[in-house]
Amino acid sequence: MAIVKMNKITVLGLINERASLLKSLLELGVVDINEEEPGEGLKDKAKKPHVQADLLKVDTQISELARAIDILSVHAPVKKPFFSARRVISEADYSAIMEKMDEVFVKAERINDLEDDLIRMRSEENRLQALMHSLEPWLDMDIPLDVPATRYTQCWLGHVPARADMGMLENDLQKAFPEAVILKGRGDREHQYMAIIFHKSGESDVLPVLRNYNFSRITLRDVEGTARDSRDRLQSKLNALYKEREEKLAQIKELAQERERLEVVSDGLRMERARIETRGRLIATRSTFILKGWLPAELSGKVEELLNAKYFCCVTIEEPEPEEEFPVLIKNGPIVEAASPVLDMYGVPSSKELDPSAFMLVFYVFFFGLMLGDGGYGLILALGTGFILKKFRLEDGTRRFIKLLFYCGLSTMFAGILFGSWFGISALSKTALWIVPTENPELMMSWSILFGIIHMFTGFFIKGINYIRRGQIWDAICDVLFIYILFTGFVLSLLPFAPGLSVPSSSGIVKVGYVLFAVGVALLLLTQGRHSKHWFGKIFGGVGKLYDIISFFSDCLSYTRILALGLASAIIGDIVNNMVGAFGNIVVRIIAGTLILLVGHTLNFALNALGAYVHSCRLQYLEFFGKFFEGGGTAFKPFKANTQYIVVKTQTSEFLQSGTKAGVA
Amino acid sequence: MNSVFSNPQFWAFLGAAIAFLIASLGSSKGCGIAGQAAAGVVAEDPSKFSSAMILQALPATQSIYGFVIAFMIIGKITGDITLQQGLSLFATGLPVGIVGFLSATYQGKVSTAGINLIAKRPEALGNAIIYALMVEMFAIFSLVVSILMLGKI
Repeated sequence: MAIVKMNKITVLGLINERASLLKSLLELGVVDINEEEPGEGLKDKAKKPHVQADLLKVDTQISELARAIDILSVHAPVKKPFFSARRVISEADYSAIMEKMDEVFVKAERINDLEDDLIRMRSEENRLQALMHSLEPWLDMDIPLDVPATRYTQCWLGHVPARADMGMLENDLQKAFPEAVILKGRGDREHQYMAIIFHKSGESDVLPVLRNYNFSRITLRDVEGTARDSRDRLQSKLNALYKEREEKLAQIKELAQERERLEVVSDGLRMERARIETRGRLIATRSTFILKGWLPAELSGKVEELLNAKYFCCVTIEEPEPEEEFPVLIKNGPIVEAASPVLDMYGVPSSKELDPSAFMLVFYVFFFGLMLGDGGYGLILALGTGFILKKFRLEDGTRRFIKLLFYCGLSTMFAGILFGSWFGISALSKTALWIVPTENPELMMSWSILFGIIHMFTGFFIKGINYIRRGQIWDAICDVLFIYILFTGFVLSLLPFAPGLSVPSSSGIVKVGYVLFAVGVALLLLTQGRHSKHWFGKIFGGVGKLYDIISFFSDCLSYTRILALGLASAIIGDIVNNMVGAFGNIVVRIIAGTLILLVGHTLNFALNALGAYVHSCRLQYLEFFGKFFEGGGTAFKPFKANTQYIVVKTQTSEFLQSGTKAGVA
Repeated sequence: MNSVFSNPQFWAFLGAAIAFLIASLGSSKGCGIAGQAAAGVVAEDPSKFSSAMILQALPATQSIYGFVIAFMIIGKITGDITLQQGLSLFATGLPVGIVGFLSATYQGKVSTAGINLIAKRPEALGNAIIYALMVEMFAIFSLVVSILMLGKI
């Protein structure tokens, strides 16, 4: 339930065992390997191997497989469940497939070739269709279009603008040169198509007339005989093309049975790639190599045992120096692990501080519930996510997120019980165990701020623990205890202004507040300058710290969003219900009412759940983490199989699971 | 004309109209510009749909706040409210309406920037949301102020 302690591991091994040792480490998946440069004295004897060429080769292979898999998913899609996890396969099955890798590559190549053919066919299809389209104006003419001239005549194909007067054109042409004939083709919106046949001697007489009418010539490509003949020929070509495409598609569909093998090999190569890349990071001499890294302390014994048993190598495990930062891995039990989606979005804590997951989860879930605030919505959320958790096998990240939503659903139900709010039905507000926020928003506002103050005080508490863990007791007293005194005094003295409470300003508790506030100010003024070296800083360092009161005040107000979002969802739920009551006719009320209720409540739920999710996040990130979070740690990134489709269950990974409480995330 | 301005219901309705109308104009603008950016990013990478959608939806809340206040104002309108109450209801609509407009507009711009941010670094969704929520805070305050004002009428 915390940040996992890490040990340093150093392995000195033999080059000829390097590949299989790396394979074992990859299967273990618990060592974060550092990259180090050889020392000055060793520069000429030890260096890192060049792996660029190998990487390039594997990358090409991976992308070839990826393309094949993509093609399969386009032409032969498999329906995947909405939540799916990687397949688990045994080591035996895995190596059986990997041994026949060449066979799989042949298939992948076949799929890629077929797709290339399909792409070619698509452009051929476009070309044929464009040709057919260009034939359309000439379909009614029964002259061969591929004969531009005979011994004595010319035949020009072309068009004039659609608005040209054809009768006039024919008249003018007859006047200029009687041995000319116009054959009209079809027209479209812009052009009138025609063929003009005339005796060769008249070209100089015909041309000026045609030019007057803006005639432009066209040459048709790929025509034989009349337009109809050409069209039929093109159509039969197209049909053949369609048939061939069907065949190719059928072949691809048939190859879809190879999908699983393609996926396995692709993941196998991805692991291979990781091994090659890691090999390039290890310093090696002619016959030895050295590997340095971090691994969880609780697993170091087992890893050492395994490496020593299988390989001729020297393994050293060391604990880090007290001040040394190590990679951060946060490991929590099955309940608190739900905090990780929220924490991961913020950043990595430092390896020296307390893991805030558990505290944060409690407040996160509680605030989410108050903001969504409707028991009915909570019930739906909890049932939905609970069903998903029970029914599907999920990847770790997804499972944690769904689990978080499940808790949020429960918390929203709890808020519904407190507020008497169930699907915004106003009659049920009498069942409220606590406040009805819509009736008494002022009081709810004061409570929201109080929850905020508790939240922030918890933040200071964690800061105090961090100090104490490092032995800085005096800092804990000055920066946490004195702040507690100051802010408690501040809050108590402002009680008369709190809406909905009506505490008289003369009451005893307010007076206690004044005293505490004054004491707090005095203590801070005395102590906050203690880190300054100069006398000026020692005296006035505390004054700047008093500014924290203002930011504390604005932080407090920030928690009024709990009230605001809770009210918004409650009121809109109520409005949706009221709209249904507006219909007089009972039949209309049932039909339209059901629709309005469904759509309205779904929308309200979706918008407000999103609002509750992000605003609860914000309250953690700014108001809570701002009080103590140091951050700046580097995440623990173990050398492991980052696969897409499969998880290989190997003896090595089984060995690690046995005897330890749980696997490493 | 005079009778309209001395009519308390008119002022109250005007307050409700301002609360919803102006705030929703802002939300429309904010969601609109963020949506355009989101579509551009998703065109390149469909897997960013849900993150872009979350950012796009953020400027919608100002409209919800305006809606809530408008509804609460309308609930207070009866046949026998005084002119003073009518004018107070009018004033109640102002914070959430006007602040909501600016807040939604600027939040839309920040969301757009956030969408561009996740286009380059998908893991920065949390940061993008926080930036946008900073702007939201003022709309929340205006909602709270409007609610508190309503409680006194």
